[in-house]
Amino acid sequence: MPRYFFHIQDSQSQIDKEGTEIGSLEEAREEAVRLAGQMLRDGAPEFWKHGKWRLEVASPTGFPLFTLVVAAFDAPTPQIDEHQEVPMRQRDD
Amino acid sequence: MAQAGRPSERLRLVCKLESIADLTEEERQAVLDLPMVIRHHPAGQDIIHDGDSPNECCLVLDGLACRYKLLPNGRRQIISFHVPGDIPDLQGLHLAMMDHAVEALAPTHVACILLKDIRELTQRFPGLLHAFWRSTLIDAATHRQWIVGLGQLDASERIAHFLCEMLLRYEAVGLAVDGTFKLPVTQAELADALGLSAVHVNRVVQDLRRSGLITWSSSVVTILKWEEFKARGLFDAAYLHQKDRARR
Repeated sequence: MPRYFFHIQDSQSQIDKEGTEIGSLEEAREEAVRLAGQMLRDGAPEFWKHGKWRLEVASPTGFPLFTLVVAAFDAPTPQIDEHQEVPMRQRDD
Repeated sequence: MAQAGRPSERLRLVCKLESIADLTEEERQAVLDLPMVIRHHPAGQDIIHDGDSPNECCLVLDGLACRYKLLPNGRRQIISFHVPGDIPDLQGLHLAMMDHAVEALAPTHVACILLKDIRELTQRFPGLLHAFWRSTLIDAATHRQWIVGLGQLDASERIAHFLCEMLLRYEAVGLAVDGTFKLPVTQAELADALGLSAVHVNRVVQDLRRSGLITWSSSVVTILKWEEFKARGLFDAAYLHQKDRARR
């Protein structure tokens, strides 16, 4: 079976030196999405240190095949101040 | 070790039961006298199919077995692993139909024992009935731990926890020495067991190896730094309820 390489780039670069044997490119595409889901789940707090996560999958010969990117963008609008005083609602009676 | 006239397969069962319960000399003898038929299963073959209604149960003698459930879409969940000394289908004693399958993950010898013989044995020796019950309860405790792992542990913790458990279970039946044991499980099978993608398992194993906590090659695993590795897997051996555990 061909060996695919899954390189990850977040706050640090993690090069996959060993690779994993996978039957076909289609399966490698599925594996990539599953891997992304699981790694983001496991690293939820760490993700926000960098706000970007990237998985590059390379062919058995080391040639880049496709890339998955997850990125967070903060809204450009001013943030609501959670501590702002809200006037108390007047009682009806 | 086989004694004269005491085939080692019977000793496997005694060894397993004695790791979780105290047996009297008579109980020990009765287990040694159990009639057993040895069968061999190549790797990948079902030992019992889902839906079967067996009249015997199988004691794992060597190799490795697993319980699994196959979904209609072809995906598979490995539910548990069974080391020599385990009887993965003991439930047949009370549940007529198998609700999952048992497969040999490596070439595996099993000793088949008629359920009627186990029934008769446990009627004569209530102590053995309790020992089997205890073994079933530990099985359930292991499943509870598995659920915690699948729901709450991250990939690295899950794999570390799994390897800690396997080391203690192999040690209990004398099949691990100095943290080293034979684990004939592929990374794809581990993925099926731990709810991870095969690529993820591969990455984590590379990571654990690089950090010097374990070595794992050609199906032989060594846990090099037990305390550190146990902490990595958030592992607490209490749920295995082993009697004379060397490691805590």
